[in-house]
Amino acid sequence: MRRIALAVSFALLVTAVTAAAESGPAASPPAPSPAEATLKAWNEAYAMLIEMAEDFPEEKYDFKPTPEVRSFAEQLLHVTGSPYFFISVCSGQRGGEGPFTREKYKTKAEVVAALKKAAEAGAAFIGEQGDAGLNKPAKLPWEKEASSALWVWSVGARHASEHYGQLVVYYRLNGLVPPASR
Amino acid sequence: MRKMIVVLLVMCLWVLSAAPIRAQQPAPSGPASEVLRSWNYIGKRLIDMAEDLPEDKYDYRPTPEVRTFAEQLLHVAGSNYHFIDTARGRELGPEDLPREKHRTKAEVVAVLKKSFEEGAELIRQAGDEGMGKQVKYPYGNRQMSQYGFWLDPVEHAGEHYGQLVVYYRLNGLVPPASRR
Repeated sequence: MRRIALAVSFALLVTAVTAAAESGPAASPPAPSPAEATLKAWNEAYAMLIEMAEDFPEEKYDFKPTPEVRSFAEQLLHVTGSPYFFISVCSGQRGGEGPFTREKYKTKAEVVAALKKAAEAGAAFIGEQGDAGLNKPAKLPWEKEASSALWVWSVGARHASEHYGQLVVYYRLNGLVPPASR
Repeated sequence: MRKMIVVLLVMCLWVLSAAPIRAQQPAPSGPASEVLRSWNYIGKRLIDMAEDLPEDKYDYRPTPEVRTFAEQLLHVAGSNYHFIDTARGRELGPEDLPREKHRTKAEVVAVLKKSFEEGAELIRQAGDEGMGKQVKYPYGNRQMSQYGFWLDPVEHAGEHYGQLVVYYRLNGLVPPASRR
């Protein structure tokens, strides 16, 4: 009797533990996934910036609408540095060849090349991490609490869009039509 | 003996009942709350600006061919409604809400706020499960996950927010987010 009771109880315990272990993966959302959508948003935002960087005349690269803000080139170098910053927030590893200063990136070709490389570094990181990696906790230094790497990269994509929006007005102030509006 | 069986059975029940809780814990937050956070974040930035900019500058535009400050805000609200109305299966209205219909600063602020509130409500209702579902995109004959669907107006709002940052500077004003 005792043996049967023990055997039954043991079997129940094994079943319970197995059920607990299996319910994890079953809870993950179906495809297409948040990581894929974030990668798409990232690539779209950076593609628009790269298109502008390649299109804008080099002699206007140092244009700024008011004295206290970033020039066209400085805006691009700012969004060139940010992917490496977001990677370091998520992984602790600081990549890239920063600081991305105008003194270091003197020509249009140098700015475009650095921007492209940074966009690819961000895309590669999002792709490698996937949903599992982006689900890991990460904390932006200016935020009180940690959230997830997914949040960090959605901030990254939106950040790029905001600077793209500024450059739209830089175009117009120079009597030029932004590539996306032609 | 009987006591021992009861104890073991209680232990089994305890493990079984604890299982779903443990399975939910590893995710710091789900896709619905992530996208809702992004949506509310850019919404707040735009609403802060809309409330902050003096009303006499609402019709400012940096060059003659582009949208005024008010028109930019009404454009964001109109495109938000394209996503909201698509999600509700309703017919789409104009992407640029007409300035003639939203004459005062208070009216512009109100419609902008309402668009972000209605979108937030739809994201909350859909939840994590809904975010993984395929939905119709407002433009063209495309399908995408509901997560990607809502990221789109977030990026769009970010682009227009960026433009308004420069409108601020051109008026000798510091954008609310850059004040310390």
